[in-house]
Amino acid sequence: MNVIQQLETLGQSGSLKQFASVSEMLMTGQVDGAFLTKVNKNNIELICFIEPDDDDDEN
Amino acid sequence: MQEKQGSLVNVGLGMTLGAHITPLSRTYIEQADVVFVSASNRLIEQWVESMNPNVISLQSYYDEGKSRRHTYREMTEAILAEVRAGKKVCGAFYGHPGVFALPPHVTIRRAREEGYRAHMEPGVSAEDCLYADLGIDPGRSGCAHFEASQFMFNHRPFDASAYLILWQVGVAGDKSLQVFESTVQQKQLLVDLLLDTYSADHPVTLYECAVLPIESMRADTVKLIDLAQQPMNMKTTLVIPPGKDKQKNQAMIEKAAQCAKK
Repeated sequence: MNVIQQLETLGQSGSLKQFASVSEMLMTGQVDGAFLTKVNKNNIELICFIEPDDDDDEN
Repeated sequence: MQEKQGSLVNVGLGMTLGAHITPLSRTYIEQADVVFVSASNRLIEQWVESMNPNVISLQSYYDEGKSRRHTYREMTEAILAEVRAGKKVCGAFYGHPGVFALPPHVTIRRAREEGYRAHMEPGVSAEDCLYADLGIDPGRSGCAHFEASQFMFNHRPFDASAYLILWQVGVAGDKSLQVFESTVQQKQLLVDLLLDTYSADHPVTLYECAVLPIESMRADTVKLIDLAQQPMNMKTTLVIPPGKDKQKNQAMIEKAAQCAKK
């Protein structure tokens, strides 16, 4: 299972809100220790604005 | 008008990878000829790529110093070009594709005007997450939402006995649409505006929902007077709880009683 599949499985099967820590969540999901390193490698924030500040130019 | 061959559906990815996407939105992504993706994290893009290899990221249209109005027009044209080419096109947008998002609405409207099938499917929005994470029920005291700069640059009367939620507060006060964070001085203008209504020590919360399932949400509560100095980014939302109690409209209560069934 690659890192995206692991993240998807984690997202579908539980919420961090129900665990005391990320480690506990990963342990419960039987995710190996290298997972976080792989996540961090591609954990790049993207620009996500798709709304102008005003409605005077909607075309 | 007879419908043409191309089609467009804009779907929501939800806010948290894996957790929020609907089965229907996933199906549209998987079955599309081409998927345009607007995501808040590279891992989310990769997740969409795992559903359909024909993914075009909308990231390349952004540039510091370039007006986002121009960026949105380019996004719109890129999406419509594929529809006009007869393809089954899916726009996959983070959160809800119809909430605080211009290109999904414009592309659907224009595709329909040109005779193509086009519609939107909802997703779990940042607003949805906010209610769950902060324990706010908008039905209790009411809730008003504004884009932060729109709130500043227009006279927007609002009810201080309801929640006030300002989106894109990280770029509050920027009129250029060419930066991805406004200055402390611009944010202070927002604070000054809010001080007309709320006390300096009124608590306000900076909220960011989790993008990855292994991330925690952010909910930092500070005094209004200290707001401009706080770190904010593209995902930050400002939540202002009511500053006064609701006022009963006794005249309306009495009129409604008179109109009630006897």
